[in-house]
Amino acid sequence: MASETGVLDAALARASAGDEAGFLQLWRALQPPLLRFLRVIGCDDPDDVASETWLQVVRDLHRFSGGEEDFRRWLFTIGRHRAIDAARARSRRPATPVSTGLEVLADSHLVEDQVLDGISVERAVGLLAGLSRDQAEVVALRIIAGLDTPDVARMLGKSAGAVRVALHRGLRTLADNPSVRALADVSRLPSSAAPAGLSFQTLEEVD
Amino acid sequence: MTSDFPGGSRPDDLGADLGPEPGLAQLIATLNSGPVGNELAGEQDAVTMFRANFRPPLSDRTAPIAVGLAEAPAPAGTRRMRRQRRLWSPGFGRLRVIGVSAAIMLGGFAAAAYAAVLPAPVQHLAHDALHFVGVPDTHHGQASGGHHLSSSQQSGSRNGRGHHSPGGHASPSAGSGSSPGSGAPTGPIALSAQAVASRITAGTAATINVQVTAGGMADPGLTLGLAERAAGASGWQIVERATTSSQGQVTFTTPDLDTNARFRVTDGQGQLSPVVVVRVVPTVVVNLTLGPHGVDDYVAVSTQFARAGDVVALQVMQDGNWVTLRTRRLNASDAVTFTISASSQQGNTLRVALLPTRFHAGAVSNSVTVPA
Repeated sequence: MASETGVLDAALARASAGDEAGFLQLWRALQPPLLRFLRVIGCDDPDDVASETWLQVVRDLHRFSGGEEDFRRWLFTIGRHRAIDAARARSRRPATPVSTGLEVLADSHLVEDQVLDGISVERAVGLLAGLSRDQAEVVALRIIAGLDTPDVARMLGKSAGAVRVALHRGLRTLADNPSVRALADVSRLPSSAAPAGLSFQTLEEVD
Repeated sequence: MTSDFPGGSRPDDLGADLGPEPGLAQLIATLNSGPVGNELAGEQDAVTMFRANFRPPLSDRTAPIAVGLAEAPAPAGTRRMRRQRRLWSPGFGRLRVIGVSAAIMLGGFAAAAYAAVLPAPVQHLAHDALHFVGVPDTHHGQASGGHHLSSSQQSGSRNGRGHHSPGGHASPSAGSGSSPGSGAPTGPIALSAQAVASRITAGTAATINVQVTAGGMADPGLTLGLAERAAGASGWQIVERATTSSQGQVTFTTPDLDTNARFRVTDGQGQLSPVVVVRVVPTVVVNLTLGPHGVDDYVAVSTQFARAGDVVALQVMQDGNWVTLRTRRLNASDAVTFTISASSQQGNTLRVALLPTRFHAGAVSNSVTVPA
């Protein structure tokens, strides 16, 4: 999901004019990170929330102005709000389990279903979701959504410093996770997907 | 703003004392990898949703706008309004900017009003001001040819705005045309929807009752659409349309549902009801087959509207509670067979529970008793 700035700017302009192909290009580029972000923050039904998010985007697209980064920020802000709404609605009307104690089995994953020679997106999202809520949200917004620190700070109502601290601690926690450490040993991803030499140092701000 | 970071993001200064973290790098790369699984499964639904809900900029609304149910006529006055804007421009300084801006807004407003896509109260005001260029009154007259109030009646009873009486509205013979309570209902439209049953048998239809109010009063004659999003789909589809009764009510009957589904009601002009969730309960049937030698018996489970891979639990009644003996997944035929010990289970009552998934609610089977 590399940055497609320029391409997405053009797609955004076309979508704003009502072009379905332009919208589809945006959707294809941003739906996966949106779903992953929603999963990281613990959304119960990310597909549904993502659908609600895109519906609101489309309905208000005629009022939107800005480029791809603005759109990305807008999209994830709406997604986050819809996820919060969904969580509130769920807490007001908690579901009644049909057979207590059995539900967990439905969500369990068989060992044989897991990919052994690499890390799946699902597992990666799960590792992120294992962080504290604050850290997970910050890391997801920075890494998955690709937002800048000031944008994340504004979205979360935090200071930029607090966002940096949460990101730092979140990444460090992940780095110390044995499951993540093990990835280095079994890494079979192509070099293009996992840039060689990527380290905390190379993750520093460059501007 | 260059970056070597996947996804184009620019992580912060994380300190230089942590060293290389190749495992973390792989994790981050994976999180930024291309679409996997069914992440793009809802593509067609997304396009359909875009087609149904996209709104062009207000000033460009020169064609029918497919906003939900809105089927508005194409405004013919746009060019005229542009010409008027040019004539109105004072031609100097800030006043010109303000004048042009206002004219553009007015032009867009007029176009939207002509297209009858404005909210009801705003549309009504627009009709008052611009009726001479053919701006229609509120959507009520368009939405239902059988509406009880004519356009003239509505515009002639403006004093009653916000004090609509459902009874008077429904019956023009009641002499309410001159009554303060006889105007078209205005104010914020509220759509409430409620399923008669939040759980239904899979393969049957759900019934959803809707109440529409405008400014707190019943809003009759309004055409509504019932939008459905089935579990696993990422877009909403209009599946039914109906017009509110004199009491502002509509009862929708959904298509037969074989998965859980969410429903919303829309007036096609921006108002949406809260989401109504309907869960379907699959049918689970167990049959006990006695083994030939009295060693093993077989509990055959068959399901309808469950899916291969769903988990079922064989349960036994013990001291008034159902206790799970073991679980298995449904096979490709949506069925599975448990083998039980005839001797240890003799005289026991068994059943099978189907665990809920995103596609269906949980369900339990009939009970069977192992012969002693």
